[in-house]
Amino acid sequence: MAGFVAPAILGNNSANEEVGPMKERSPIFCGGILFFTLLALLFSLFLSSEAWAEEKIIKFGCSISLTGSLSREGYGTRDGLELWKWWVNEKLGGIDIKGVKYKVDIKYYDDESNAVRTVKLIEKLVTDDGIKLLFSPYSSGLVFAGSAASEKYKALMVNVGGTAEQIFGRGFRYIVTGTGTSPLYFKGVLDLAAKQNPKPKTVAILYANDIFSRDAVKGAVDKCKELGFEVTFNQVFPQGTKDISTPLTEIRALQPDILLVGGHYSDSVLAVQQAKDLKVNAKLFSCLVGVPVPEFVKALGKDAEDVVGMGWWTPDVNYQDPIWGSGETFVKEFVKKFNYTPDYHNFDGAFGGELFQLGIKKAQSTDPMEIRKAFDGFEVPSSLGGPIKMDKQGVNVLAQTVVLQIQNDKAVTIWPKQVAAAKFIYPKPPWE
Amino acid sequence: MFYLQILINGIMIGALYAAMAMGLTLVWGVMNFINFAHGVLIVLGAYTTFYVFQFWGLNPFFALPLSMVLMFLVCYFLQKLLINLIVRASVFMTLIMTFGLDTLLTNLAILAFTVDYRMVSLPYTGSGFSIGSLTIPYIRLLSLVIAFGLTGGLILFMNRTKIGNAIKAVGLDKEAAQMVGVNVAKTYAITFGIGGALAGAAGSLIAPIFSFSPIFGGEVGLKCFVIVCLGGLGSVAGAIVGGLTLGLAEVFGSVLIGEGFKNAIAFGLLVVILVLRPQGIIGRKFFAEIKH
Repeated sequence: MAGFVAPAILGNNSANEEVGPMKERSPIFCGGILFFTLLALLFSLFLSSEAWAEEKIIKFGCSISLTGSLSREGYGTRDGLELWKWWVNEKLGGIDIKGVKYKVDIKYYDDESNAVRTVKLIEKLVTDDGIKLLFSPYSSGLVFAGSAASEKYKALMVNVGGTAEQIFGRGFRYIVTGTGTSPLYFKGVLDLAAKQNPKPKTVAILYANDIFSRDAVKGAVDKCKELGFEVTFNQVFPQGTKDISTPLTEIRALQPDILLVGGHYSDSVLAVQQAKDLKVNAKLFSCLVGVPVPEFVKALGKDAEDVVGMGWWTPDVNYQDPIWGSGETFVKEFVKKFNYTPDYHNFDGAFGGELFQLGIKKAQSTDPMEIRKAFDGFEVPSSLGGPIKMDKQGVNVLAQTVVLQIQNDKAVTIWPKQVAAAKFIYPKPPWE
Repeated sequence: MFYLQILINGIMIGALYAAMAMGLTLVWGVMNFINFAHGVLIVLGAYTTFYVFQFWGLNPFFALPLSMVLMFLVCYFLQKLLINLIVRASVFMTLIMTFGLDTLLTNLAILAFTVDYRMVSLPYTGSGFSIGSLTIPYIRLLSLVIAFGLTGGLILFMNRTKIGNAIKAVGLDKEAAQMVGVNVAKTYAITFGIGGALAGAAGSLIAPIFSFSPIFGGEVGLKCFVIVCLGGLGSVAGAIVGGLTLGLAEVFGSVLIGEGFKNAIAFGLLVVILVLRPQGIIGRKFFAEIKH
């Protein structure tokens, strides 16, 4: 037998061919190599299964903006997620499912603030990485695109960065959010304005042409009607533009009492800078995104003073919480770990993690469908973001925005009254 | 008065646009080379200005020469060592090369500076003088003066210096220029270097006006492309005309049609000009010829 096998493997050593001296390997040698290779393979499989058996891990995935125009917010969200992960793994020992503690792990991909890339990365997370529990990207545009992919693959996505109503109004089953939706954003500011004496009369609105800002402005316009404010200017500008001097010049001529600017962080900074350049004054100047972020004051310095912003949370919001104990603990641990005070983007990440954790706990399963069913009629009396009550679309109907204002280079909470840490400064002094 | 303010805004932004596009039009007109990386060079100029301001407290307008020198050197050596390899290749190859360069430089800038938005905030940022209800911010006015100064300087350089005449000669007919003793390779390197220097200058001008990050380069580059096509290829004065035309079209279009249509107005204008006058508003035909 060896006489046939060896030449078949090693080649014919016919005396007619001029070949050099050839090493002969016995079939036993070859068989031995094969045997030990198989043994090593089996052993490594055994070891890895042993390792897996020692530590149960729930894997989450997240396509988030770590570069690009949304990276500031993306990094903030990721820091919040990382703190939640650390808290669950190190302080709580894991998530309890049927008496077994599961640690958590989050796999991140950078979507470069690009919706097309977000979709591809979510597909990669689900198909290549086998992860079906996902955190959303940041920004409504990316969540809108990405959630279509997660819905297709029946992967459950907890929103940590997009609030446009359209995201949740498509009848998708596999997306939920612990925060509210965009139309709520400006409502707190306008409610606060309506309480001032004398009451403001006119409102000018300028916003970026993105799904989130359009939604927020729709809510603002409805609220203005309800409160009796006249909207004297309502115009959109192209997303990412670097010059809005023309509409601001038009607004200056109208002299509105309230100026609302919709857009993300860079749009807010641009609006304040150019409003100062052109001396566009308003008694209340509010930006949709960016005001709570420390970089807002760093970028604008004294020009940021008295600008009003909003978010779903500020460090002054201190609810009792089943995971953290209290909002104060969350803030303390965040500062310890990251060396800066958290803003609502950090909160979004951590709160998203908390929501998943509460859902998994209720479902006692990591199956996406089971967790989603657990969110039907989901109610929590108090959490990091306040009380939770999920509607059929997976939206927390009890969420409300918190209003803040830059005072002495800091973002301070001014509304609602129960969490206000400072008085509202009104009217905003005119630009010098 | 409202329309006068709009006009002033348009002129100021137009002058800035012209400063941004000058380097591109020079390189394109002389070397028949479309520098896709022009936008990122402007952004690198802005970063130079930002860090010089941050570490040494040097005003951006005084940092401008430093920015120009640095970007000149970067582009001179880029041309000599890299771009020279494909300068005789087809336009498609040069586009691919500069597209790759743009991607490389943008990502290196992201690694070095992150994508956080930066801006140079000066004590007089947001200050300006008023005439009645007209407001003219100091920084934009200074940028306008410097932009016109750069244009004038470049025109003088091109017409009154030996190197400038050599650059024009190579742009007109490089074989003929070679025959009269012009070193074409060296001229190309200097031209590209000057293009880079102008990009650096534009970066210094935008640093105190717009917030910027490495990803801003794409948008800026595209705008420069439109300006060059509008004004006329290879023409320094064309960059001014193109910049002012675009600036005014954007502001008046914004008032009359809506701010949301600003980009549509810019590209719509480009299409109209390309159809009616492909060489640009003041471009001359032989500058616009494709040589390959």
